[in-house]
Amino acid sequence: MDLENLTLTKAKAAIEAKELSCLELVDSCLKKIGAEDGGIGAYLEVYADEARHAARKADGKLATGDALGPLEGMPVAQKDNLLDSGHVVTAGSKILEGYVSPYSATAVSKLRETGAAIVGRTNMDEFAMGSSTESSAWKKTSNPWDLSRVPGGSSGGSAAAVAAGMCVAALGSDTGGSIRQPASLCGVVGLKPTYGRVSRYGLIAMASSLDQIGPIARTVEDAGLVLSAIEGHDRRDATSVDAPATAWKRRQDLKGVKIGLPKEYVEGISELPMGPAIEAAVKTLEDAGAEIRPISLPHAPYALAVYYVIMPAEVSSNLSRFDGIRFGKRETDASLKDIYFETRGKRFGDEVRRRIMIGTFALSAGYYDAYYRKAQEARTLIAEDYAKAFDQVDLLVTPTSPVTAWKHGEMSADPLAMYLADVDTVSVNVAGLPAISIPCGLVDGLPAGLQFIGPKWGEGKLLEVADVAERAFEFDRYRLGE
Amino acid sequence: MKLSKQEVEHLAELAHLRLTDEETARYGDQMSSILEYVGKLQTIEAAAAALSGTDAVNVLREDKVEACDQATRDGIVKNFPKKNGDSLQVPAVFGDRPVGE
Repeated sequence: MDLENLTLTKAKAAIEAKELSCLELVDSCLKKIGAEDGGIGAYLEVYADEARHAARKADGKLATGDALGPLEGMPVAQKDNLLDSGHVVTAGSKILEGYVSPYSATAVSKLRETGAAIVGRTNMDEFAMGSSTESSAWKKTSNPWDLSRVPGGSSGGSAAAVAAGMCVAALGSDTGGSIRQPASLCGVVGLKPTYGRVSRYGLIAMASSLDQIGPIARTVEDAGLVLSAIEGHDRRDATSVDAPATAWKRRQDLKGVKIGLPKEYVEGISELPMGPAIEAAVKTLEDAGAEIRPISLPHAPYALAVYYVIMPAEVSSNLSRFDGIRFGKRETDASLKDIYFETRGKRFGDEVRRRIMIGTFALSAGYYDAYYRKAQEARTLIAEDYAKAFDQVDLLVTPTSPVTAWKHGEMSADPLAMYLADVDTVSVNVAGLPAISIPCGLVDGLPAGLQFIGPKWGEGKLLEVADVAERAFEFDRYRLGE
Repeated sequence: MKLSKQEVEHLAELAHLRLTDEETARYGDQMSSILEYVGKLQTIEAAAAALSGTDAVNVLREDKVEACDQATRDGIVKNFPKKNGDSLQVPAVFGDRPVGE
């Protein structure tokens, strides 16, 4: 049995048919990690004993005749910015070196309550700032499709782990595309829920009005199973919303579905290397019965600028707590001022320090109105564009990333060039909408992703449509090892 | 928007970041190019209101103390970089200034 490419659904069926045990599945992931993670670098820490314990517990429950939940005994990984009581968590940064979580994130507690076998914590860009995982203070993560290339970011470790069969699903976080983009570059599925759908309690905050936790998995159905496990109102996150649980039904085709193609995101696409793959994917949606309508999001050209003002502003505030005082490493004890300046100066990486300063600038006297206030107003206009679009269509579709995986180091010289790679994903966070990326084909041997964007609380519709699209794209034939 | 060396130093000061001269120069160039890009926001028209980003409104709770459980408390204290018993130890806030200032 090909254990490497099992989905949660297939694994559950095999386990119920006694063809496979949870322990065997977890052990196969651990074996894969042992054999290949030296080269891929997805994991910062592996929780082998804990994962096996959870697997044995699930197997034991099955032996007594009880049915298992969808994630019970399943090997799942989590990003290094999710607190997990008793475990070291660092947000990919030296400033939290050795920090042990005193409590667990709600999403992590929920996963543990389902009986999932949490395999370990995965590598990420420092404080989730980046689109390549290259700014991690700890190690390099490589794309399993081509080890000379990046896995995307900031949830690069989670995406690489799923793509390489080192877990069946993983949790990531998405502030400007950090679940969807690495999923796209690694040929797997990534879903960012509606803002407020999943509790942010215990997620080390990057930009509080943009962050969401979400699943990375091999199929749309699996992503839906993980979402159902972690979603829900949480009184400890004042921005979480009591929304009805995500529900969807498998459909045979896309008849009656209206999908909008925003002209601002697809004009000029034929000239890009991935143009043909995206165009073919859209044609496949049409063949499946969807009506494709051109629509316009007039303020789309401002979305990246809006994001790169609001996000750094919130970052500058959120990261002020990392000062060497209460937790993490403290560089000196010479004076209070020295503790702050030395610890932050030495233990934050380049990208983090840059973004803190840009945020500080945008919020400072004399510039606040022109930058931060303007960006917040533009945010409203962007959200209104989407709301108007969803009056005409059910979902929107765009490429997830304008490029496929680039080589290590290729984009790190110019931060702005890397920011421009986020152009397809950031407006979704700015508007607080849900979106899913699914692999739609290969471009010069590397995965390309198609992004579906839904209206607020539209995860059900996203999963329905993406599930049909996934079967139509048949990306499995390209999947690693097949 | 081109940032001068002094402006970068001022931002580093506000953000409590100690930077080397090389970093100040390098970040200054990089930040200038980023601020140049986001400057396009100047051309956008005004909106009716500024969004908060969340649908949640007036989320309140009772003003009651909820004690922290011992295990969590122990975890927090364990993370203190420097402690004196159960107390977090830091240099005196006014320790830099001479007495009487």
